[in-house]
Amino acid sequence: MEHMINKKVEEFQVSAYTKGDFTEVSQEDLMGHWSVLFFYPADFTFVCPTELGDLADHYEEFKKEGCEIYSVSEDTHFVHKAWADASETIKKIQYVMLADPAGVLARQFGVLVEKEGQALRGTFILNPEGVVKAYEIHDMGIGRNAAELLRKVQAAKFVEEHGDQVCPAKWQPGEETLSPSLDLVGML
Amino acid sequence: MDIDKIASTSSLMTPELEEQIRGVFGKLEGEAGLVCVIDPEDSVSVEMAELTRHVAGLSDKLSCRIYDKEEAEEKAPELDISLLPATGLYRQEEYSGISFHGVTGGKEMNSLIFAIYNVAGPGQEMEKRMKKKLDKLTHKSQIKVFVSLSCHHCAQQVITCQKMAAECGVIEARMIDARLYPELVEKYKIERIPMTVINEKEVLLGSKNMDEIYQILRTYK
Repeated sequence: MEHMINKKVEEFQVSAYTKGDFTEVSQEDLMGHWSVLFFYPADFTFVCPTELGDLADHYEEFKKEGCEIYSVSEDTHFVHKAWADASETIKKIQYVMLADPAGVLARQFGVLVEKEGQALRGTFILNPEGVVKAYEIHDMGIGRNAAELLRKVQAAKFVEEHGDQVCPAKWQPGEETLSPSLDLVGML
Repeated sequence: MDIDKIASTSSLMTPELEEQIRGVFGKLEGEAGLVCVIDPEDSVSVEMAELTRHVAGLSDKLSCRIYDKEEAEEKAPELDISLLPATGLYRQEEYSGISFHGVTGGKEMNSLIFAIYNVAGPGQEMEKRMKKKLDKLTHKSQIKVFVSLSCHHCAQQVITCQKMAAECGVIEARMIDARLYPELVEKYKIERIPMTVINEKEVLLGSKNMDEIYQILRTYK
């Protein structure tokens, strides 16, 4: 199976529901800022509002990072609205909810379960050029964590800004001194 | 532990490593001294003292002295003994501006060997234009490079900064193993390494080249 890292988002145009309004969103809207595409199986389910509410609670932090959130399901934008009207959790969502009933996006990102017409819980982090820099795909029932997603966005941004000349710090108290290795003396 | 009873061999050293180091030390032109300040009751300090003695024993051009904190206050006042173990490199009894806080295990063994090579000579080659620029610096600058022993970018950054210190009398460059000093991790909010702090003001993340570091040093006059 081919992976998605460094693949650029292909052309698409879908309807969307955002804060009471219906809009159209294309790949062009994903350019110029970091984006998260957050696929979930379907509206009006149990795990989904928990995840989407968690994302809504962290939305301001994503905005501070210059990152826009796009949730995606295989429902229409009308169903998104109906769900928002019926659920306090969904009503508070400020980010864009994409409607992908034809499975265009889910198929492009390899998360569509064709026979069920639903998307797996896939999360894709795209850089301002629309290129996938990190992703995870969960089976239907396994929820995700918005705080962890925020950390990944920050890490992806950091690497993009500072290159790969830096390592995450992870010190373990009581760790033994590492055996010396001389791999640079060839430079002398 | 009695300092005189500290072993002259280190369990961190292997025959293969010794051979590699001897290969570099065979090129040394001058002499260099290593001064290691330790807390004799601390196992990490003793580990560095053993390693320093072992390394110094691999060349007759190198000498090694081990002090406790009280002795160091008198005999090596230029070293920061608030962070032990502290190991300084000396050229004809004069502090080179290069020091290591922690044990130079892992990738940092590279830094120690390069530093010795640069202090004793012949030293790594440096572009003439950079040497000229460094010669013009007059402000005393202190560079702290926070590292993890497993980080290859860290050793590269330490080597670069300490080479600049070896060439320029007003630059001091310290390697600091952040794992050993959690209070500094907290103070400087260190989340990624190498993290370089210049004159307690400028912060650099990642491995940088000499030009990038010089551009900061030159702003101090």
